[in-house]
Amino acid sequence: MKNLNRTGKLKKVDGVDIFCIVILGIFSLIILIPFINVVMISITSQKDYLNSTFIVIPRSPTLQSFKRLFEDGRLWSGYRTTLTLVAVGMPMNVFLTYCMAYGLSRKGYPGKKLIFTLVLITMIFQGGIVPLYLVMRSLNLTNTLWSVILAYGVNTFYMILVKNYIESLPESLIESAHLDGAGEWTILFRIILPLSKPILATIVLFYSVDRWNEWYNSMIFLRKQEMFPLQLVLRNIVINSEMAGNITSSSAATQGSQFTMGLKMAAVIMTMLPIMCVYPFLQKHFVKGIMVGAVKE
Amino acid sequence: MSKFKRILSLLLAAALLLSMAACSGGDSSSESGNTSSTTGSSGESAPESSETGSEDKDYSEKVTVSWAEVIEGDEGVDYTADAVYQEIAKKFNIEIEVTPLTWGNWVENLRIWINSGDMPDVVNWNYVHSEFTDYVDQGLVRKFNDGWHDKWTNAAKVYDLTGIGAELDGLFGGTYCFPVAIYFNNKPADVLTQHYQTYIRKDWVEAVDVEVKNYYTWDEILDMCRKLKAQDPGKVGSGFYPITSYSGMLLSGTMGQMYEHCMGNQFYIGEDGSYKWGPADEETYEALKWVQDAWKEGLIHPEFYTLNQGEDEDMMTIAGTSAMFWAGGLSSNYSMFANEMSQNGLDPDKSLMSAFITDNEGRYHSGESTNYFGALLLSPNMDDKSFERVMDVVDFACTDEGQRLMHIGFEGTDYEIESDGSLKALTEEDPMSIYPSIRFFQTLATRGDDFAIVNPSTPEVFRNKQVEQYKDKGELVTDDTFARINWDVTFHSSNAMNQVMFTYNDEYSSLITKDGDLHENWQNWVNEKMSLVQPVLDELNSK
Amino acid sequence: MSSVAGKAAKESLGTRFQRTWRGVLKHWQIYCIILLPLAWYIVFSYIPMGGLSLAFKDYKANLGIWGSPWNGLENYSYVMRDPDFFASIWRTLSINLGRLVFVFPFPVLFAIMLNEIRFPKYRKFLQTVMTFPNFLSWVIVSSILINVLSFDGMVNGLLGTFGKEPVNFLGSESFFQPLLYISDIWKSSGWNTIIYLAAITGIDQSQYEAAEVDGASRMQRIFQITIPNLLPTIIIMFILTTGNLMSAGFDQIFNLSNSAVKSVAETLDMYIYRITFQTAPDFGFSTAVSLFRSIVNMVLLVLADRGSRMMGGNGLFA
Repeated sequence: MKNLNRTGKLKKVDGVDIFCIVILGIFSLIILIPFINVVMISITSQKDYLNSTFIVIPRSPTLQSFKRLFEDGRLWSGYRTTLTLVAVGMPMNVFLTYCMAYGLSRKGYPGKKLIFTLVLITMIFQGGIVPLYLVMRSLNLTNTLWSVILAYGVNTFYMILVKNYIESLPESLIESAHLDGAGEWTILFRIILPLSKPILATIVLFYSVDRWNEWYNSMIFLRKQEMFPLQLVLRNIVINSEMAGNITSSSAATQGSQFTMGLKMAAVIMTMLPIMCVYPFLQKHFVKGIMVGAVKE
Repeated sequence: MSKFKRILSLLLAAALLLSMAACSGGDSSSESGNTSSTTGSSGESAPESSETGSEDKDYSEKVTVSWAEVIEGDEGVDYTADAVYQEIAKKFNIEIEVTPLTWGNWVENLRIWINSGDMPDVVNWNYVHSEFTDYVDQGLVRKFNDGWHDKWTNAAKVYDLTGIGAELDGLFGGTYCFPVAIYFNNKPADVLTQHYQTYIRKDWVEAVDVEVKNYYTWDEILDMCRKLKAQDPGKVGSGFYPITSYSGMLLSGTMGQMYEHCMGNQFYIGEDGSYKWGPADEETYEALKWVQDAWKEGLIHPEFYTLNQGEDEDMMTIAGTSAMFWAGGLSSNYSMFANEMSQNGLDPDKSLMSAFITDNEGRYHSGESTNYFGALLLSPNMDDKSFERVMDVVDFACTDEGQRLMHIGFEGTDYEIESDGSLKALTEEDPMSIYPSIRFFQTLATRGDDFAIVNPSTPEVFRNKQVEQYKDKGELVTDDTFARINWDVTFHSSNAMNQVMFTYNDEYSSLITKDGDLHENWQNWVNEKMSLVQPVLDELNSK
Repeated sequence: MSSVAGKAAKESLGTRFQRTWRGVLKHWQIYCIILLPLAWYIVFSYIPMGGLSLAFKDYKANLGIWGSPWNGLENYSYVMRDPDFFASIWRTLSINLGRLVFVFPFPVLFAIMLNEIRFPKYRKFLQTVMTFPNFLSWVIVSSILINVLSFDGMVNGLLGTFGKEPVNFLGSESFFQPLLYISDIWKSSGWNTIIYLAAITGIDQSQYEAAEVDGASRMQRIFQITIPNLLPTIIIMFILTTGNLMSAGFDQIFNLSNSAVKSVAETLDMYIYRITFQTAPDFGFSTAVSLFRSIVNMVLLVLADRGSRMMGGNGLFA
């Protein structure tokens, strides 16, 4: 990429190119083959699946697994909740993280080291779910989406990444801005923000994915099914199909057991498909952010 | 800029206030819990409660309760839309907010909710005694108003049949939970043995000239497997392993039925009158040895420990690559396996049978099965009016009429009662798909096992099998091979006891698959565990 | 004498306070900026953290966390009695040190290699594909692995065509750790590459241009520019990974382990899970173990931080 930008034309392919292309190509193949299997299993009947040896070939493709997922009333509300979580939660995450990272990247104000230490401690010491539940309950947030949104505010690990990135930017930028009489907010949004696009794109991606995959807090804090996010819905469907009829008897288990493996794989596809559609788009921004950063420098 | 500052400082102040509220909030709410339970006990002495019969009850005021339980096959449907729910809601003027849980999350969710003092009004909870003791001590669950036995006689009858009910009343001086009964109206046998059965390909058994029976000795089972493996009547080929159970069911179904003290009932009073730990007995080693030998011989799926629940059974009923597996001996299971087979071109009448194993002397080993699974707990914040209404519903669920409504719907449209008292289904359709709320009601206050025996939507032949196995097992147990429930052990709660709740299935599979000499490995394992087990034995012996 | 010294100390305390206060006034805007995130940390991290006091308490839900009676080290005396606890500590350390050696370098290598690929379309394709597995939960990865590695799976099928005996990958204690590392690389190294790629894009382009003018080869540019510029990120990642040595990988081990490899798979987190949710609950007991785990993590983190600074790198507190 960089080489192209710099010279504008492709140079001769050398050993480094071949090495990278071959190694990464093999690695990608190792990733793709099981993925093809995932897709195959999701459109196979249980019998074909059980009788196949190592590669699943659907002799009579069926959409039964997908049908079963879509028959469940919760799937659409799951998408809705998850999109809400991403739309509301992710910007909040990014804002909080970015503010904290900027604050901690600045030097020479009292209490900085203390605050940073306190923040680091949260990475290592966690109170556990019951105390968190008690906090949510006393704020009257349980059984609302806010509990799920607020339970995940700043990921300290991502925050440190951003902080380090900001610290690696030339100090002189901030100093000269200070001399021009700019306040911290101006510096933060006018000077640092445009330069931080690559790292911001990264944490936008990270937080979006975390939000997208969110299920544990929802399981504990929410009780109404129509509020469950996608991952929790899918999890419940898969678990129920696994356990059906085996722990206690239901009075009339007339339908046969579900094809759990097919359901699982269909669920994977249903969660990944939206991400796979959005990811190239995000990646484009990612690259754009990089270019802007490069030009500015 | 200063505007920013003001807003921010306001926000911080708000956050701090909220956080202070977070600290104090816990106390205030638990106080309110206490007050409501005291009003509960004073209200209970009111004279109007002496009236009997649900017909005279005053249902003019509507009551809303939240109710959490595991709902099998929950499909996110609305449980309050169909006629069965409407009927019950109208009858008792109650609105039930259903909180469905799954087998995967009920333990965790309920534990967190109850311990945070934030439980739904009614929960159908997995009964763990030491946990229950804590809840009662700390006032986290509501006491059932004294005298409820006389007021809700149907519920009281089922409560007594669980066995544990009376014991708990004596232990805590009152009722704090309602154990969810397994059998009450249609108890299949006097003593409840465990219901593990092995499901076998009948046509294959016949093809290798083995007699079709209701039970086999250990050696007979192994012989059968050897013949099946050698002759391969299903033409499965080189990857044919007759037994394909996942580890939990395999070990409960075999080891658990070979020595009654190796999995459940592991603490028992030995012949010398002192407490013993079953897994350390030579009989446990023998049972381990049996499974290991069969596994090494290739009679059991070589990677049984990677199989998931359901996968094992699919290998036989759907793929046709397995000859037998263990599962619960319930009519719903028979019916499910039979359906799967017929959907895959096998005639279940000809190719499905079930059996259980006895020792080589023909005795059946088992622990006594408890007659409850889980228990209803009530929220300490529940007022008397809601309590009474909930009890009315529970009482109704314990009657024949209630059972029928909550399992198959309405007389005349969904079923009719024949002259001999048996039920006849009037529709081919699964009652649960007509009335989704049946998924919720069928385990509201009792398990489905009892009604399953008379449920007309399951073919009679399967229901008879469920009864038959209990009868056979009841005849084949002897005093030596039957471990009765020891309430002293069940109710023993201490830190030491909490530490010895091993997952025996996992422990045993690990021993079976471990390299080296089994006896030595087992001995080492026993010695290692003894540091935790001995304190418990000491506690029990000093009682 | 002493009174004079006391006076001086007082004065210096006073001036120090004044200086701090002046610093606070001068930088008030920074405090405003971090106020909201800080409030979040206080409410949703620090207040729940009070729950850690349960390690020394007998939890009574009706009394709340603060009101529950202290019971000193009683919880720990029960922990110490369990041989599984000690075994799980060493197992965790050994598994996660292995991760540090075998898994940690892969994202760095992949990032550098991706950066060297000069065909934008191919590069983008590889990058996209490599991030895929991160979206699969471990439950799914585990069923894929069982599918591939079982006796009748793909790998043993291949071995069979070469006339080799099938290998027991899934139930063998000696294969368990390598399996963890390989599946970890497969699942997350592509994703973690993103962090390093972001760092690479932050490298000042003029450095490369200058090197090119000097006639440096590609390998030289990688070693003299890319890697030194990546080093701060690598060090931070290394320190943070070290601070997580006692707790990493629960979800993975939980899903990949089975009862046959139980004796090599019970890490400290698995142990905590077992005592919290599979047996009767004792929040005091499980909190005691969690607190122990956190303290070990903290010690490791501080050690790694000091170590990296002694080697001349920047620590976390740079």
